Amino acid sequence: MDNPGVRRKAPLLFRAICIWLALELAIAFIGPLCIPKSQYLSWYLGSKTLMATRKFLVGNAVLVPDKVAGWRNKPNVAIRNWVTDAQGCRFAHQQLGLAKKPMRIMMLGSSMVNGGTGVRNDQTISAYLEDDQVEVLNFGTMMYSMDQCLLRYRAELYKYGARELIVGIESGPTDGLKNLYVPFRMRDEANMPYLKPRFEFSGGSLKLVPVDPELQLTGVPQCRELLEFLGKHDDFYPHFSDYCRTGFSPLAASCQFLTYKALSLSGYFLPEKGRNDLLLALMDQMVKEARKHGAGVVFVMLPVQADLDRRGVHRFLPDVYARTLRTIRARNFVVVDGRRALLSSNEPASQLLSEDGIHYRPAANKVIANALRTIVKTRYLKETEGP
Amino acid sequence: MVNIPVICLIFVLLVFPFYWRLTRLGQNLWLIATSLALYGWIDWRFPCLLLFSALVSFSCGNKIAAASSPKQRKAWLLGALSINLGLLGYLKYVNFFVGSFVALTNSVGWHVSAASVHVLLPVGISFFTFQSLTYPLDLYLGRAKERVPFITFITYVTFLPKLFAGPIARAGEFSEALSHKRQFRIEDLQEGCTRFLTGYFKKIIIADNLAAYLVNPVIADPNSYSTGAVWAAMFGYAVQVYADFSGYSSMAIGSAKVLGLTIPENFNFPFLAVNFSDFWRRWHITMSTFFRDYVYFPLGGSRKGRARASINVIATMVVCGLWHGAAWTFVTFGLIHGLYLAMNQWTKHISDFKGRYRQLRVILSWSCTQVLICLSMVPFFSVSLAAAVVYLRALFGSPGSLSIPSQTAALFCFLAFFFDHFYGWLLAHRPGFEKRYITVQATAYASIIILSYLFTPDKPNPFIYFQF
Repeated sequence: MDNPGVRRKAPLLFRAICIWLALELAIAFIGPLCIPKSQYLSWYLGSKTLMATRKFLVGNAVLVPDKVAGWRNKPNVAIRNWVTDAQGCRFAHQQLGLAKKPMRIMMLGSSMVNGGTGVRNDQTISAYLEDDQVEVLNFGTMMYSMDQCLLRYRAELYKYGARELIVGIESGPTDGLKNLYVPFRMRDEANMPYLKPRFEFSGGSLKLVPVDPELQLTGVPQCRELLEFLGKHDDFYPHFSDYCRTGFSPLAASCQFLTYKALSLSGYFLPEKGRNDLLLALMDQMVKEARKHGAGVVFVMLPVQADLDRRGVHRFLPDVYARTLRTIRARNFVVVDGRRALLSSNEPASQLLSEDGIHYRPAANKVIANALRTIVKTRYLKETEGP
Repeated sequence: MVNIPVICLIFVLLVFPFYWRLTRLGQNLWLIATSLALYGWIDWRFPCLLLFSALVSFSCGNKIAAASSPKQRKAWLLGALSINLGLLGYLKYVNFFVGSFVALTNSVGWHVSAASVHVLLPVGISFFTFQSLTYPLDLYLGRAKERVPFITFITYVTFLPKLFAGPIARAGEFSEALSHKRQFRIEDLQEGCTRFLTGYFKKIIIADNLAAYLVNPVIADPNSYSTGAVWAAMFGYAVQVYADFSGYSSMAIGSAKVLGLTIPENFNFPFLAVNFSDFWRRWHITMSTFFRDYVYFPLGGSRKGRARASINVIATMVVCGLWHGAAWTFVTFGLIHGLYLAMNQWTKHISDFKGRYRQLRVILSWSCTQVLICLSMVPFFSVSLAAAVVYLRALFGSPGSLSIPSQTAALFCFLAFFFDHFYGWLLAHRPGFEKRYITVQATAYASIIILSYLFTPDKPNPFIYFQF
């Protein structure tokens, strides 16, 4: 471009490129000096997310603010497939404790555990797991990660006296553990602009970073204090600060996009050491808490489309699901391999997974429930028979 | 959905690096291979139909050129027309004619039922059929004298940027450019890039935003919106179609220019037209000249008196309407424009803008023309004639009270459209303007890059002319 021929023969192209590059630089470096962060946050979130925040804070969403875990299922909701009872539990039974079954199980985890909105209550894992002997309380909550399951159980769910806890783990389980403000990790998830607590893991001990969503989210996007707090504790805050620089011009955004892709790809190949430490510490803590209340814990790994169908580009990438499973098993946790169960069912992937490639169809929920039943019943029998 | 800007961009990026090192034949073969590969990427059967249509036109054209008697020439032309138009008619219009026949028989009391025929409709079939037909037609009508080499002809027909929605280049003109080795010129790159960028801006920013924030919601339910909103949506649709189609044409012209090829212009700021003839000289130019040369003139044009000329122009425009799509709404659109043009012929003597109050008469004529053109868009965008009537009623007193879904976005789009046409006016009235104010123009293009990134709607609207 520095060729004088170009400048002379194609002056318009030459100057347009120069001005474009100058604009890119101005937007990236001068913009953040002049425009307040709250304005950037408003653009980053968009009107749909801001509206979802307001709905959440006034209690008009299917999830309501919770000081312990950030959010929880709203009790007594019935919207199409999604029905919760007075405890916010996605029930299959008529009324809690009414049947007086000998064994009570509690399920914790994300929407993969509670079934999501694509299936009815009687098509969830918990419903298929219930029988004459077993009552299942499904406390799976949208986008819950291990830290939130632990906090909810520790604070209140232990009171239900479940003999066994089943905790779902997704194949990429650590991202949510390092995140506080969901939009910073998943900007497209406009319906869930929520705030969650997290644990920081250093020197072998867990330190809780608590949140108060009702207080901290009020006023978003005018929330300087929240942004400062997130800047300190949310590992995904750089997504937002990068957006302030690179989110408004195509060249910078493309470079940023490629950088993120390269980083995410490198995550597959970098050494494993320490990657799952926080998750393992939380699982360990979960087992300890449950034991304190006389319960056992069964973890269940729940694969998504990319874990089940390892064709195409996935063939060339390391199998994160298997790697995580290996790490968990090495620590002697009781863990059910959801992928093996689903693959051995010989059902086609289209029958198992819904269109989003994440949530399960009833057939998959049934398979997972069967796999869990065997292990849970064996453990129950062992306990009741005694030494 | 086929993402044409991306396909055009991939096409140029694939062709460009190797293109300049190849010989003339190599360049043409490379263009054919890339075009067919990308066209086949949408559906592998599409290139087969495209090649079939091209081979028929090529063979018949050569037979016409070699024929010794007018009878033979006519027979080969009819062969080319019947096979190509038969294929187009079957794939595109079979359901329309069967449906219309069933409706007609039912209305007179004969109850006939017929199932719809599920046929594969290749993207851009109307465009590539017409393009390949220009070869036998030009040879028959004596517009072209020489045969075109086979590879050159296939390159012309398959050239991807103009394959989906034109411009409808003539075989002779385009093949001329393909018969020489193309050399890289930075001036072509500049022109190609700026044209592509302008086209992208028109399509993505003006057309898609107007569709999302004004046109689509109002057209879907005109009776819920206020009368003002219904009028705004009608004007918005006219602008949307223009921005959508001229945007696509600009991208096609720009992509070809980068590769050293020139495709004819398709639009010339049609909203500056002061009468209907002027409008059709500015709107979808390659199609209107196609119909003028191959339908209107063979029918006799204006040589056989004013009354016959009016009948000819109405017939031509009805065929043109039908070409747009197999529906009575498009036939009505064609009929309306036929009547407009006939009216134009009869009032030529009072609309020559000579004498007193010239400026005032120009402005009056311009406003009437534009309003009537926008009104003719109502059947064009309506799903049925009944829906068109509902919309027309809403224009003259809608029961609804909703306002435009996003006034700011709509205003921004209209403003961008205004600047586009103001630029056109400057080009027409200030000669040499494009060579001055280079920095201002460069700033405008740089801003277009940023704005196109910032205001791309979440869900792009498919190209309107794809359905044709």
